[in-house]
Amino acid sequence: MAGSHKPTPEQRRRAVASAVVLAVMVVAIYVTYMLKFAR
Amino acid sequence: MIVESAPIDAVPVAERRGLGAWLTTTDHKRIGVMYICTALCFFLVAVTFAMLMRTQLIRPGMHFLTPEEYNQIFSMHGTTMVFLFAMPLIIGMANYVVPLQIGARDMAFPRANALSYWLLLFGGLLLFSSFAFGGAMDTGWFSYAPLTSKAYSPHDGVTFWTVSLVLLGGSSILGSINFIVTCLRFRAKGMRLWQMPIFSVATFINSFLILFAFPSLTAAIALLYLDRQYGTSFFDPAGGGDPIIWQHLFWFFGHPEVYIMILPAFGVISAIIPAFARKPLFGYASMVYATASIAILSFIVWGHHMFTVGMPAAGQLFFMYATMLIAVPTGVKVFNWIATMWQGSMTFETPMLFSIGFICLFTIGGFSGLVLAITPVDITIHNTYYVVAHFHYVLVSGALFSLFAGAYFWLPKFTGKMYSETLGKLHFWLSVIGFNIAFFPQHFLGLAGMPRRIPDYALQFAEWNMWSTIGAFIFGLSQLLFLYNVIECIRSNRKAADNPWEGADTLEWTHLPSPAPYHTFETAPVVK
Repeated sequence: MAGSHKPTPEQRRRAVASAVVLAVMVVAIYVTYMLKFAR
Repeated sequence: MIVESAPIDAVPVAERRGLGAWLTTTDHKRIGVMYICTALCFFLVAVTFAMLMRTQLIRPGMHFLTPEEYNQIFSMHGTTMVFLFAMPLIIGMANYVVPLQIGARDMAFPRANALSYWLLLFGGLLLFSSFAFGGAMDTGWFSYAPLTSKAYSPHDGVTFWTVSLVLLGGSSILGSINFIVTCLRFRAKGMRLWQMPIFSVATFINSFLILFAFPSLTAAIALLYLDRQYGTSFFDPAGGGDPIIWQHLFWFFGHPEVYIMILPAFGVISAIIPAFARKPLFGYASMVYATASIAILSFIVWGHHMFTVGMPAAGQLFFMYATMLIAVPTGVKVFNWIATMWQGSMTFETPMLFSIGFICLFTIGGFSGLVLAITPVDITIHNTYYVVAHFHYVLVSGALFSLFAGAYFWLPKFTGKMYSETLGKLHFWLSVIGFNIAFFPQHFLGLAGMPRRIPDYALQFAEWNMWSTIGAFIFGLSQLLFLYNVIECIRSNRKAADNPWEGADTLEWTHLPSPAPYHTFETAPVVK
């Protein structure tokens, strides 16, 4: 039933990929605001 | 939900002890506890500020605080309550509970999780250090331009505020990414995303809210910083700027921010009521849809904070109806909570009392919100004490009562000890009575035309202000009971059962001892 609870390399890879996507999204929203108002 | 996992008395991995272990920890439970303790410290400071304000306002003509001090105190009260109490407390609770509820070993990125906490702490300390460098911010928590310009706020309080808010925003964004990834990638095997316990779902949705809302604030703050430090004119009409842009940017963040504080609170209430009604939550799916709907709608209502700025009739109508629309999913939630209680085998321990108190007070706050949503009414009572009464009914019940409910609910899991029910109930009743005496009269004051954010007022407002101050002191001082109860609980010998609540059925209660061991689940739970 239950195995080791350490994250697998695949889990880690997917987690990092998800985090990068989210971080890029945040930066993109921020940059959009700055380009709109800081020109 | 059937779960297979290691037995409840599994031998935990050895846990390091001592101050150094806490300062260097990456364990989500310890970080959660640190968040909660930090939030409570800032809460005490903010409550003290509130009592200073109410002392100044106990009767007209008081000279307890100078106008300059009053401006700093109410500005720091709001900022502290929003950014250094409500949000960290929610994040702390979620830090401790979410990985337990979804069967994860820890957060997805434990070191980033620790960094989030330290950013919060240093951001908070930086904000308060401004008192030692010429004075704190004095422009209100939403700091409208041009009040934030050097001309109106020449000392560095606003600059400290901008830098510390960037740190606090960074902390929140980092934490949100961590929560989303943890929920997406580290759930127990077999647990679908929308099968997560409702508090975890609320935290998950709330994290997206933070990610979409905070960049707007960060951009506004960056422009303000440039205006103050480098002489640009983004918000100065004399240099071609526009002070109204600040309001748009701030409220595009600020209104979702209200829900950032309240959505997890909804999750807490949705976890507690089924436990004490001994019935499954009524309408889980509709709760999830309602939470998501509120999150989405919160981004299209910012204009209702700006009716008096002037906008086309179409804009006024849009923001008015959009604001009213939020009452629909919120009503769904209230209906579901009542339906969950309906014909349940209810008992009224402290978490349940605070939950019911939350529903009653939040509904009052919701209704006064609907009143304020009506454009002509809002224009009439804008910036009066009616607004103060409204948002305290929403936020004190939403963020404070629900988080007290959550704190009492999970305290046995956090500490392994039981708190005193008698003290808990006393805390609840004093809080409810004090809160209503403090804030209900403020509706009358607002309708009578008393403006907010003034250190003195006309004679006709004297009586209700006196009652408001008496209530504020009862409410403020009763919070000491909570602190005493927590400390007494930790020091007591009343060992808590693994699941002290008969109706609680999420993983942290059914599959973990109290307190939860260091490496929560030694083997991964599997949901079938």
